[in-house]
Amino acid sequence: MKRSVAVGLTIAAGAAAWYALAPSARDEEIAGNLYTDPQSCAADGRYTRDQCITAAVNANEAHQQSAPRYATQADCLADFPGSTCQPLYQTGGGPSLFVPAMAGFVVAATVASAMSAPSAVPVYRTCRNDADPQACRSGGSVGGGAYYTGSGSAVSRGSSGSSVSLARSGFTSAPSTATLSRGGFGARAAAHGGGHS
Amino acid sequence: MERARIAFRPDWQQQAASVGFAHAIIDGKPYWDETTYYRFTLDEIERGLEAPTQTLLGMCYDAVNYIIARPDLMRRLAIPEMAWDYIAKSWRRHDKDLYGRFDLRYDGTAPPKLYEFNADTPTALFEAAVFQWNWLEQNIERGTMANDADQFNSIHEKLIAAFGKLGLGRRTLHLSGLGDDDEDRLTVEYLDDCARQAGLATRLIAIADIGITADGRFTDLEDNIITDLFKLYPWEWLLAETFGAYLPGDTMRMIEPPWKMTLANKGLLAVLWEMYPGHELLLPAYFDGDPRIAELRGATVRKPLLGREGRNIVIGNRPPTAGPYGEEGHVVQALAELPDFVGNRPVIGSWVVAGEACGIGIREEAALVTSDTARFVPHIILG
Repeated sequence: MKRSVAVGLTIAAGAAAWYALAPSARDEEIAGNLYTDPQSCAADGRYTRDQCITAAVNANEAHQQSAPRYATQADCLADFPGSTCQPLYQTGGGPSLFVPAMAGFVVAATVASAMSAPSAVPVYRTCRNDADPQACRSGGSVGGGAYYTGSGSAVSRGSSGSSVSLARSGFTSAPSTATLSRGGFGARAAAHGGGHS
Repeated sequence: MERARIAFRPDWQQQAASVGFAHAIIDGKPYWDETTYYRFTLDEIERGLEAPTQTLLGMCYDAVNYIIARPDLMRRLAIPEMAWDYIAKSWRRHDKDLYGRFDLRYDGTAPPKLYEFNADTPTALFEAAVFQWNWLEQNIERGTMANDADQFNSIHEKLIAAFGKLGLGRRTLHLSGLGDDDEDRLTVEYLDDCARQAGLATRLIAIADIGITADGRFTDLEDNIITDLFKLYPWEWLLAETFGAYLPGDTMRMIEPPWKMTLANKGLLAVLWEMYPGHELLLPAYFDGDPRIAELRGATVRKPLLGREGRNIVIGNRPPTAGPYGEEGHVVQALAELPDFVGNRPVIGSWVVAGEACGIGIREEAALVTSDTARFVPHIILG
């Protein structure tokens, strides 16, 4: 016989999962405070001036290590409209990459209370196309627009002042295994209409 | 080899829908056409298609050695230089390939001729391996086909066996492609099913969802490092896109492996003709601009090195078929017109899985250049 003895399929049509669970299903939200600079942090009164400077420095370090990276400025701006996208200076050479400017940092309230040096993560700002760019770039202690962590988690603004909440995973510091960027494959399919033969 | 007619199964459309074969009908027209089938003798299959396919595959493996040792050919095939070492290493390491489809001209009498080898991203796999098989089994069961009718099609069994021999151990196999294209999705999900039946742990991920870490490793949506990736996405596109520069430096095992790039290129046709001039399974072929093209008798076909689905093809002096391909260069091949079966022109897709010829799928339409709308028609072996 030149044909298969049996041809069975085990997965029902449409049952295959192409997408991971939504982050909300595996990630609880934790509270924090969002500042654009150490001065506004200190002025808020929750942290000392030294704590604020340490938080800003830590966040900047994390930004250097793990900001979302893009091959072109245009790609970066597509994900972070209204932001400033800058070249990343790499010590080891390699392709030149662009990262969005750090727009501020979030200090995790719960972590900070237990430690003298508060844990802080960098955040990035985007403006929707219809937003007033002036209002987006300026305004108040936290500015306008929407904020995201480097891993793409949205930073939810609290009811007042600097209060925010974000996914706990935004605070796990494992830059060596954290995904910095997605969407670096697949662009040509759009122009060619599929790549099979 | 004969073309025959048969009544379609009344419930074939429901069956197609129930297995996720959504593109069985495209724009209101059947892509899967079971009102027609081709009948072969066992000798036509074994001597006319199976053995020649095996021979062609051996020639292709020889061509990998030949091309890798020749920087001028690597350049001529438009393979980016940053990938040359990557390709050579994957070949020396014996990275396993999974599958491919030779497109052959065959009329049941003369030896088949190679039109091209789809070595990287072949589709029309599910309909050949599964739907065609079901069609024959059910027609035999319903008494509408002879009991001793057979089919050249052990593709499904060979795929499961091949996944089992990849040597992944407990590592997870990620399978990727365009999640929003019916044909690609079906192909990837079918291969996923085969991999699972072989006992592998698998995950699906859309090609655009693949992530990258600070040290240039690739990740899935839950930030797991991807160690082994099947990708139904052209190699030349992967390398040219944003993350492509990181592929050669990464240890991720790829299926198809990087060395398949030397075969998934119409320039292979010119290389094979240079290695095996006059071989009965080959059509004369040269890279564009070669003076020997003028010596080719009769009409010629000009094909983009990296074209797909019958696009940007020029036959003789006719206008080209539409399409976006061709910037990497072309190959010119002597024309061997598809055989004519009452106005229908079938092309034989001859499948190889893990180095073994194991089945065929037939596409036919009235045109000389088979496009992505050509109907898929089943076949049987009888006599």
